[in-house]
Amino acid sequence: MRSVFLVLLLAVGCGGNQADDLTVFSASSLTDVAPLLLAQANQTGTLVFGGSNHLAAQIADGAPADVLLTADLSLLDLDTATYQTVTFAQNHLVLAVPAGNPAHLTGPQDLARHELAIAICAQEVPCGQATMNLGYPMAADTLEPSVRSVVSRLVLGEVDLGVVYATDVQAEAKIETLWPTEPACPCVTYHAVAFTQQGVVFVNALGQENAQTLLASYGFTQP
Amino acid sequence: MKRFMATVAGLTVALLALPLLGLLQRMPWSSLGNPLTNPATLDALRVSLIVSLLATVMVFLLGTPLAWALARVSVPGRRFIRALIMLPMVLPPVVGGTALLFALGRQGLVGQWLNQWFGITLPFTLAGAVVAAVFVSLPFYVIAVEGALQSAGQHLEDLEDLAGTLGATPWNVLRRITYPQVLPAMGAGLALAWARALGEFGATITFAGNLPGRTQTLPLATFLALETNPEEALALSLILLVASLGVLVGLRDRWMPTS
Repeated sequence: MRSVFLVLLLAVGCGGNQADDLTVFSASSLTDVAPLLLAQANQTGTLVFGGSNHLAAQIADGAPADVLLTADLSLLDLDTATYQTVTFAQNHLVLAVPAGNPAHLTGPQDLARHELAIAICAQEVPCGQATMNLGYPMAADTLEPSVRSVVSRLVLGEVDLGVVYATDVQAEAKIETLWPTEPACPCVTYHAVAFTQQGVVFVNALGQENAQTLLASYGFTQP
Repeated sequence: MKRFMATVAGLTVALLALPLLGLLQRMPWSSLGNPLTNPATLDALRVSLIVSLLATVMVFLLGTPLAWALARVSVPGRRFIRALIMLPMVLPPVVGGTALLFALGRQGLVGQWLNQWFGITLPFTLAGAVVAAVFVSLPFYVIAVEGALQSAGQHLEDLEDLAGTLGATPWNVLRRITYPQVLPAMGAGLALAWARALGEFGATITFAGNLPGRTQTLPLATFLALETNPEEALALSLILLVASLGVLVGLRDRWMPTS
């Protein structure tokens, strides 16, 4: 992550950035959709992806971002009231199974079945915290270090059931949603924070209808 | 010349010791008791000891005939076989774990039959963690023993033949002639294999997953603790550090004479 940041610094230092280019720091869960949001707003610029905690730390250290798209606003150690902030998307957990639901599961009660192979996120990482907050009894066989590795267990068919984000299911043809936990659990709320005047234009555009339609097509819900 | 070499050697040792010092300098010495005695740590320690010791036993049982065959039996493509055996030493363990998954996982090449015929699934089990550890640590033992057999060479084979002509049974030859010759190498190889199995991370988390009390070994617990509780991660690293360094310092001198 830090190396990506260094590359960015070099690019800025070498004058590679146009005056009207936008620098957007974005949570990595927005990797697929962020470039399209930028294009839709008729903006050009540099996207820097990373975990929300790493990005927040870099901005607190003075990284030259115009906009931050974060999955957790509370991580940002700044007075956010002084910046234009838009709540633009939500993501929620779903119970996911390999495509075709080979184990013929039906719902949350299956999470407690010991004879099934079940993967969830470890509670040390954000998706694991959110999974724990669902409050279902769970007989997990493995606590994965990231939501991506839960997805990969499902894709490889090594587990019958996993808890992942709605957007993960949308992006992966080999898995499907068994049980949406929405609207009980709007687990992640995405905020856009503008640090420059130019950033404000982009941040406001995220609340508009065409941006929302785009986000919905990637599995995000409206805040 | 000698001074130059010694200077470079000294700098290299310093370079290797530096990360260790970094770790020790950040160690929360005064509050070490808490993370070291909490049940989660003890669980991870127990799993680590069971997995690494079982792996070492497997390495001994599987690796000894393999080393002997590599040194003594001439088969076509022996060079290729040797490379194959050494591969896990240089392969990123995560790749090894993925390969194990494709071979022995529930949908794997062999794993699907294990599952269908015997109801055996290795991923997410302690046995799976042992398989991952054996995969990465076997070469350390095989190379040590094969090397010892090779360097004893023709002389040892002559001795074995001689004992045979004097009426010793093959098992007696193995026990009385061959065995004592390679015993130090076997000990050193086992110690190295054990230390490698104890530190194993990538193949374990990829193939066996991570469940406290079942497959969560110390390195896995350390990795996850880093996300939320760096102090606990440091304390866990200390256990691994002491165990690994202990094995290398203690056993190497005993089994490999430093003359």
